[in-house]
Amino acid sequence: MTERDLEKLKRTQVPAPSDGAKARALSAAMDAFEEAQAEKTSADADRRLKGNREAGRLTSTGPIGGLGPWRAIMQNRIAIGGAAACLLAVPLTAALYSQYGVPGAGVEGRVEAPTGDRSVAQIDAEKRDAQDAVAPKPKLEDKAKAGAGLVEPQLAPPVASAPAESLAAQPLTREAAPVARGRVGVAAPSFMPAPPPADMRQAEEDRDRFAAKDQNGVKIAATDPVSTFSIDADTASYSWTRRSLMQGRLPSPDAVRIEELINYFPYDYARPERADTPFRPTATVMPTPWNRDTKLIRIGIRGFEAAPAVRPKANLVFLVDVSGSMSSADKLPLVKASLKLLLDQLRPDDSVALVTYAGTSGVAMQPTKASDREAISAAIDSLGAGGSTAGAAGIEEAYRLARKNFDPKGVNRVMIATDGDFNVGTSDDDGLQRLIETERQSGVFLSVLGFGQGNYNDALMQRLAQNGNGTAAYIDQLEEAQKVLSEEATATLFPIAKDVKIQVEFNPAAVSEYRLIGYETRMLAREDFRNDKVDAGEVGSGATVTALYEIVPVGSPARLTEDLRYGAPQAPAAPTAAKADEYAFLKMRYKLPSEDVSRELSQPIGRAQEEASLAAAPDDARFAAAVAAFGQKLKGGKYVSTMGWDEIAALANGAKGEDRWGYRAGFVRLVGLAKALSPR
Amino acid sequence: MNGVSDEALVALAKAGDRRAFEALVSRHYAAIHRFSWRLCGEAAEAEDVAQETLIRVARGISGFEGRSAFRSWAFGVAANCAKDAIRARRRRARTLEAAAVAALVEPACAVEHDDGEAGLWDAVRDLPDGQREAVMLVHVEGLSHGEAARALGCAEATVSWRLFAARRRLKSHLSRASA
Repeated sequence: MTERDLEKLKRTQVPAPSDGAKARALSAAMDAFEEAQAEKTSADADRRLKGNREAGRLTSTGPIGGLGPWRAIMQNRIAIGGAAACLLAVPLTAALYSQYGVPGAGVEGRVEAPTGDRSVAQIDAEKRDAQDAVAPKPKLEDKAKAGAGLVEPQLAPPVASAPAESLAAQPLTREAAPVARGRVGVAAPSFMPAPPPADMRQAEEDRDRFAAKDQNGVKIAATDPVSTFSIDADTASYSWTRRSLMQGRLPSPDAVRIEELINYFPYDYARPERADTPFRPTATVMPTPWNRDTKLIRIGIRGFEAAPAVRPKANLVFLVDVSGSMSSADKLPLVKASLKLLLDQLRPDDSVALVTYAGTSGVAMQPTKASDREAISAAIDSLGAGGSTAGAAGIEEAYRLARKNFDPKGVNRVMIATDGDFNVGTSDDDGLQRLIETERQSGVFLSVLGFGQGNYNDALMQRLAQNGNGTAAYIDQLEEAQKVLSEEATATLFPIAKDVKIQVEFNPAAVSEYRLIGYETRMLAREDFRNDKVDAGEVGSGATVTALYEIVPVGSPARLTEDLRYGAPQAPAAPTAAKADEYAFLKMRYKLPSEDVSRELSQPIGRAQEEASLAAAPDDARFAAAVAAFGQKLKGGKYVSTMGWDEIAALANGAKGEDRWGYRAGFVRLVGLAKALSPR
Repeated sequence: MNGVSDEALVALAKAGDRRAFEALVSRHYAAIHRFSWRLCGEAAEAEDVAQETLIRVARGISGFEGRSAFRSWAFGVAANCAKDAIRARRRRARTLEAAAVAALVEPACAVEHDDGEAGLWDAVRDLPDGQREAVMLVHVEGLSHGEAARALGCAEATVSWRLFAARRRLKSHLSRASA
């Protein structure tokens, strides 16, 4: 018998577990986990009641010599067994909360009460006990050994004192807890070493999820003249960035989406006159603030603003996440206040329904006319947080209501308010995306309102909004709700065009290189432009959307790429006189909200739109450039290294314009914060 | 939670994050089930053992110090569960010996493998606990001797010795069987 003979064992096929086996095992494990956490929590609460004396000791223990006693505890713990092990971990958690005041994160465990139902685990345990009763009882040491096997078995029980052994022999149930607490709860704090390891603190704070995406790179106009993308009217990234900076942290580069920063601000672009041409593009060419040898092309569009009188009826379904994770002040309470702000913007014959989701999803309020404001208000007030999140079931229910109450002439919209923490049911992101894509066919629009932080799932929110004819906004404070749901309510609620795509063809005779700033998550293939099956962003009534390209004119020293040795040198290809003045040709495709066939708009962008100096450019253009520089700097500043924070602030400050709501002034303050926080 | 390392998930789970814990056990369920199946050789029991393993892991996670990889640790726990299950099965078998023992094994779920392999597996499952666990972890799951030792809570030399003893035993067992 050699090692090679044993290799055979590795190759043996193992049949897959039967259907549902994994789900059953996971649910049993979650029950057991929750039970263990509840035990931990009750011990935690006990300790709190004892007052600050011990808490003081918890934090004052210095790092020196901390490890030795801790080891000793670890070893004792093995002897005491699993239940006590859970309790011993409590001081660690307690220290975490008291020292770092981590809000939100981890609170769930404390909020959720253990379920009253008999869990699978319990039933199983009972079954086993019944079996054991029939069969001869296993010897005590066996169980003790099994218990020790749970914790690090490497450390053989060194202090196998009699009481410890009897504790270990206990099944790991609540009954064991009081005894263990008596023994351990008093002794543990004085041994408690100081703070938890840094990496763990890090993990506690940064559980917000963002999809990573590199910045768009430089393209060569001669070989790759066409750039295609979907517009993005989301604003979530700006409010997230603001929240981070306000809390004294630079946002993670993945959390910064430059186009969303730029599009957060309203711009005064030319208005289209009629609803059947829902918008008119505005293009400007101007010098780049961070590079004097390149130019910026700004493409701005402004959606047709429906007069309140001709505004379509709204059929809204609020889908509110009321799971345990939504209980902190910046989540459910803010959701409630925000929804009430929106109520004020509705007209009497608009209709509102309310669906909640947590452990189970349910209709909190059937579609109700907005005229019955009191009933709606009361339904919103009665929402309370608790349970885990079954997002998929809730989404299905919300769409079902929206379809049931579908108004073919009106705007039908599901508005999700959540922290994105879907953890029960169809919890994989792909499954949710498919669900949303299917529902999109029904003509129902989607708005994703993100709340809270700690485990904010931005990546998923973006996917839902992008695939469900929707937009995403992040509500960090009531002021933001005021902006999204009150001042810009019509833009948020009433789309005037959907699946809006932009395609820009650069003229290699005038442009040698170009780079789209932002829109990394919105890039489309060239052939997707005319394909009406490919989803793209929507534009709300009166909303503005801006895209910026940085271009390197032919002959400029700023060129980053070099001619190829084996290719023809890059030279102007004798353009026809009529087109020599054009930098690029802009094409846009869009669908009216109720139509499925796209229409096209186009116009050249050339010297006619060019401003000779930055100072001559309109305020809006300079401000957008400042925001673009800011976003790029937060993402690493690869292309904007020459421009400092102060210059960005100065540029923005000089381009505030009317700034009716003070948003731009707020931006200038943020630049100052970013400067203070960034490493020098 | 995709892309988050086991270590980070363990740290979160220890701090009470149920989502992290769920992601962690969900990620390793297939491996734990496979391991259980190989230890038990029987579908229903393997599922029970895998489930019991997850329950014990849930209760024990706050005591897990990360001296070995999470998966190795879980294998150690699974080995303990399987030991209990096999012991219980033997008890049952003794009481039910008169009845159809075959009923314990569902032929439909049994996997067909060539005779040499089946015999080898039977022999492996017949090994004393320590030896069987060492063979399972090192030869089947491909852990190093050191990692297996940490998972089983014994010295590395013990694992090496048990493997040696197991091979000797398997050899004599199989030659007896074929003779």
